Amino acid sequence: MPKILVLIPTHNMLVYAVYSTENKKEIEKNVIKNFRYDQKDQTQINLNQTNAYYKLNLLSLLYDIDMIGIRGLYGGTNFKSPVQVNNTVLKKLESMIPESPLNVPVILELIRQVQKIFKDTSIILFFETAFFVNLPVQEQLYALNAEITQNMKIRRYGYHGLFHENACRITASNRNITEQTGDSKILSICLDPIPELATICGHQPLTVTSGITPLDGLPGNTTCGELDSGIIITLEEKMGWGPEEINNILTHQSGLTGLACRKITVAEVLNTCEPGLIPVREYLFYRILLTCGAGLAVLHELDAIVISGRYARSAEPLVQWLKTKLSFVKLRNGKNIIFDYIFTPLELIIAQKMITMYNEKQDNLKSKIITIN
Amino acid sequence: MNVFVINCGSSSLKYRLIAMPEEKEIIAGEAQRIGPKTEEPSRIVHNSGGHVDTFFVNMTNHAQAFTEVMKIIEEHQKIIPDAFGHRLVHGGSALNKDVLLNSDILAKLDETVEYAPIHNPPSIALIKACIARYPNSPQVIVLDTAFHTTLPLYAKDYAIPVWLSKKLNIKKFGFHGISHHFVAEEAAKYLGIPISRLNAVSCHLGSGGASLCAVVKGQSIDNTMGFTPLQGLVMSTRCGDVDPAVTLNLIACFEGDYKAVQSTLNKNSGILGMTGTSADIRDILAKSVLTEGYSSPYFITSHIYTWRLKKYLGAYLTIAHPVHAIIFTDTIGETVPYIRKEVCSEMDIFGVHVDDKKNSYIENYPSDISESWSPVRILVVKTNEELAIARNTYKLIKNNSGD
Repeated sequence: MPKILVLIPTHNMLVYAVYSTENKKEIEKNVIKNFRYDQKDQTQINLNQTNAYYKLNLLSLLYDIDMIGIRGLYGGTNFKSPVQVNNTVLKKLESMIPESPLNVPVILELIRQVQKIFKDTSIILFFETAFFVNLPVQEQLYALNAEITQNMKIRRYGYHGLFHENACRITASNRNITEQTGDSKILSICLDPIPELATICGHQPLTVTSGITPLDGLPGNTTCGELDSGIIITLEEKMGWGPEEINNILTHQSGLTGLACRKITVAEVLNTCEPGLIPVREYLFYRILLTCGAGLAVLHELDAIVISGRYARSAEPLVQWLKTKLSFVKLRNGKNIIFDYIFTPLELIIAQKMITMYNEKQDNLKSKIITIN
Repeated sequence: MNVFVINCGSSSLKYRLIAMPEEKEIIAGEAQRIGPKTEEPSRIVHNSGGHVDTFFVNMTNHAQAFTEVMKIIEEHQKIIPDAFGHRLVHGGSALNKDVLLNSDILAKLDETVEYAPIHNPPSIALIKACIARYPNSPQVIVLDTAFHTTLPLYAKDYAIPVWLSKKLNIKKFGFHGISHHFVAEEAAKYLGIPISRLNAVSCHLGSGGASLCAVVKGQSIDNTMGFTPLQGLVMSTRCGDVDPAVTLNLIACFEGDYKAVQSTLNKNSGILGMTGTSADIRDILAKSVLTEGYSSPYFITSHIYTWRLKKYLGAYLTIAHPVHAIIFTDTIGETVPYIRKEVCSEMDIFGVHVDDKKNSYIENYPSDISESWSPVRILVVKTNEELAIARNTYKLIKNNSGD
């Protein structure tokens, strides 16, 4: 029976998962660490020199892979929905390297190696930013000089589009959406290493906390979140640091780790009872509450708050706290605020989309055969 | 007690002579176009009891402007103030509350310059000139940052390494504190509740800078401005919130010239940067009505301005819940009904209901523009920073004298 392979490359890890197209069951899943860097000296290396390359080769021998899905972080305005890789897509991706020099080259290299190993297998790209391409213009743009905005292609995206899209799809199917009630209105909180909150009406995102990069918005495991620009200028002026050095501090040493003075994750902070970490938790909760309030202001009405992401299972303390702070909010149906949890991992969200596509492809093939007969 | 209030802008000096505790304004005026030569001459517009005179005098700096102003007051009106109240934009790490000036405080003033390199130096130079001229008069420094010292840690901190925050004293200071405090007190009086019970969101919307302040039990718990006045709302020439990566990209583009980046974000962004024609939202709103199409920069700019304002209002209504009132103040907040309507409409979820009729025609201040049944009142309150400075000055001198 044909299988589906999902690949999720991150900074230095490659998550892979194989699913059956028949019963949607996960057959194999694992994480390949250091897939882009040499373990000894941390220098960047080609994918074909890493164990990821050998693992992918092994998968090609073990399974009859019919489709491969690759999750990309940044698809710019070019990719509004999942797209099958072909030469045009590759050219578009190449042209996007200056826009996202850290992410796009990784995807390109992964595609090339996967094409070599899996020959003629269809590769579908799923971009996290796709869901946010049509953000309202007032949310997209920063109040910067128009020339700078245009020349540097500065606009806001979201970077957990797949989680948010899944959240609104499930909410819509769980609720009885009629013409009278209109589209479902949700606050979608994705609890990941870089958390993100989006306000969504139907399938249209209205706000999102991330910005031109995932650095903006809520604080993450090691990312700073929103910051006064004056601070960055002060860091350059007073510390004599250049943009790379400041970026390194803000991306890898800040966020909850920076506040806790030790390596820590969002999940640990959510559940902590450690007195020293309580202020860190208060900080995170407070930022999430602010963004909930901002979302409510533009949404006007609410059907649910949806929690998803890698750390969704750790969200209970946050949810209880938000329930008290948002107790004044009544849902559209007049009831008290409710929280929906979605524990589906990202690879399964992608696999489910692919299986739907696979089944549609099979149906198309069948209908063609019937037509020929 | 006649309190002389001095409020320095970057190229102006506003002054008032106010009799306290009667709060009666005796003299008001403004020294304009201080500094390098401009197309029009520098001048002092002086108002005494409704009689307005304009004096054209050369004023190359704020200290000189102060000397010229005092000459007019002493020579023409034969008045010597009993006390002086100085507005200082930023207290930095040296000052966190309003203070009666003494030699220790005077020595600390220069430490605050690095926090507000544009605003504080002229104020400090003027304070020194004032001491030299009136060595025996009590002088009080009233801080724009003082009201926000009550911010809880979770609102004050930034998520950067603690050692770095400590080393550079990086935290949210918040600004427009004098105005936020003043209008909160006025709102409490209007609503007939003690300030110590008031929960409110104060919207100080100036034609230049703008900020929101969440007030709980009469104290500031958050402010949209941050470590500097650059953060937060869209302003006339300031960008407000931007992704840190944007600032980093700009530093790279300007090859490390942080002053150029600072200038771009402070002086060539916001409303002016987006439209390229005007820094005043009133001009943009007028053009937005006249120009057709959703893609016109005027339409987009006015939407970005109100969108961000609305988001912050929602955020602050949430953290300050249950809120007695939303307060609109300063030039835009007091005089542009469209902005108030845009941000207060469809806010039923927060118990906010604006009355369109009341909003479009305001006769007196303070004015309540909410529907009679709105749980959250919407007030338009005229700010008076000079009166606030006079009040604080009088209070501090009185407390200090033990009366």
